[in-house]
Amino acid sequence: MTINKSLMTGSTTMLVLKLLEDKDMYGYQMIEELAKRSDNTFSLKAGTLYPLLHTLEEQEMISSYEENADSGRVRKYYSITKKGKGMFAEKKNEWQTYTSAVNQVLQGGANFETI
Amino acid sequence: MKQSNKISEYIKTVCEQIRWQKAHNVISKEIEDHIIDQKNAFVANGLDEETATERAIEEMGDPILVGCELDRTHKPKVEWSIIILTGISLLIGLAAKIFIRYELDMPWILDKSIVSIIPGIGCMAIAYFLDFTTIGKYPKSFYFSILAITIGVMLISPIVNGRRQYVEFMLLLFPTAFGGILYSMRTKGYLGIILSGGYLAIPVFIGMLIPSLSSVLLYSTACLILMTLAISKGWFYVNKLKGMLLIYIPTVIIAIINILITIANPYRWQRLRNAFDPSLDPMGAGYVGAVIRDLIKGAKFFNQGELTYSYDVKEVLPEVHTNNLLTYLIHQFGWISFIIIMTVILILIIRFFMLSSKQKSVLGKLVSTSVLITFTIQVTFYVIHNLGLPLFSPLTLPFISYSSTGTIINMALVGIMLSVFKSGYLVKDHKIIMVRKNNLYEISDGKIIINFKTK
Repeated sequence: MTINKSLMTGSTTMLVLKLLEDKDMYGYQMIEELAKRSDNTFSLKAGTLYPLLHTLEEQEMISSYEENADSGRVRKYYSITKKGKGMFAEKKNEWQTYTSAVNQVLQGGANFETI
Repeated sequence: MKQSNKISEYIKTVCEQIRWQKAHNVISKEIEDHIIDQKNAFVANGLDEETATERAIEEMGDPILVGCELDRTHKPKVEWSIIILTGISLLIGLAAKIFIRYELDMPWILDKSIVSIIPGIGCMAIAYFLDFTTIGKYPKSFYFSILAITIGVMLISPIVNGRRQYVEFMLLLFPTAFGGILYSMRTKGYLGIILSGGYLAIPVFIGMLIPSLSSVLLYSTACLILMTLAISKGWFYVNKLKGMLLIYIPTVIIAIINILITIANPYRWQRLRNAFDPSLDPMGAGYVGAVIRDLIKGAKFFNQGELTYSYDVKEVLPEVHTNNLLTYLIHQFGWISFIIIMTVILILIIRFFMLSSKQKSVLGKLVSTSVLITFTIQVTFYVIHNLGLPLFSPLTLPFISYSSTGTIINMALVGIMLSVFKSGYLVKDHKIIMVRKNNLYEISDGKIIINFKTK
């Protein structure tokens, strides 16, 4: 299986899709949620997130709509599409293959925990 | 105020990197929301406003880099598939006209067809660059300008066989104009539906004055579908059932009256019966139908079809270059010509459908649906006539059959479609704000927000 060379951007996409698979969110919410779930390991910059979201929307992996958030302000929410779910499954698969291969090479020498 | 300056400066720098102006609003709003959220979170953690703002902006990352990234995604999308399909249709049309030119000795037909494509491309470009959002901004101006042009054309148009020329094609623009009207009326509830009915009626009268039953039917069907769409999507903010009754009760009444008139009028009744069975009067009112059916019956898959009697098709079949072109081509070249032409046109219509179903804004949806219906009904009328059911006289087979005005108008409609697909996803409908007495409430996305004026 071929692995995406730009692993970083590849995994960011995967993480964003994972978040949206659970529920629809707006940009700020995603960054917060990601930090929370990873014990602040991932601090995704908004400057990276929005171009990524807009590209994913263009590729029809996600779609957006406007709705009033709890605060009463209108927010741009993103939700994952069927195509996006397919992409997520693919990315996840790719990631698991990659990490297990890395772990195998490292032969348990390192204390790696797969995600 | 200093902090909000910093935010807007940051956003300005981001937007300066994005070449496509139209995308600026949507992006600014999203980034601004984000910075404010981030700032509020910092404030909640104990930072003072100014530091919080600065930190929030810092968190965003380099504005130039962010802007460049966004610039890569946000570009006007030229829907090449539509342009190519339109081009192929025009080429097939020209090929058919080259054939007709020699077959029927119409030396002028090719030149006139080519000459009509030039203003057609012009109209397409104007519609594309003026952008469909203009229709949303000035729906009434758009509607009344088309109305004025149509009335002007009516006054100068020659009357051939008791029918005013050119005007029926002008009516093809009205479903789109009506879409704009619906967009502007959606704030007005039931009254809006009734007023829309008034706007609907004027072009119907024009169509009856031409007189052209086909264009009246095309226009009113298109408007009815658009109104149904608007009510069922809740754009009028009325009870859906009541809204539907409000449009369908008058529709049904008018339809029944028309059916009664048709049955009561011996001439019309005869015409209707002849359409279904041309053999009742093959040398009179059923003539065209009878000829078409004979040609269709004898048509082969490839090559020229057979005839029941030996006659010269060119002399027997009228309006070969316009209304009956498809029948003639089926007879001359076989069903294969029909399949090729219909495949191209159907792909174009399916493409229209796919792209317009993706539109999220009310305006984009109304405008693209109006063009989609206008195209579909034109093709349907033309095809059923050419397959031997001459219920209503066809208008034109877009880009294929000979019609200078029809070609120009249809190309303008394609231009409108291209402009919707170019930037439709960025269009935001103007929010509806209703002010009544002291309380201000706002309706957006089907929800009512009440402002209690606590400030």
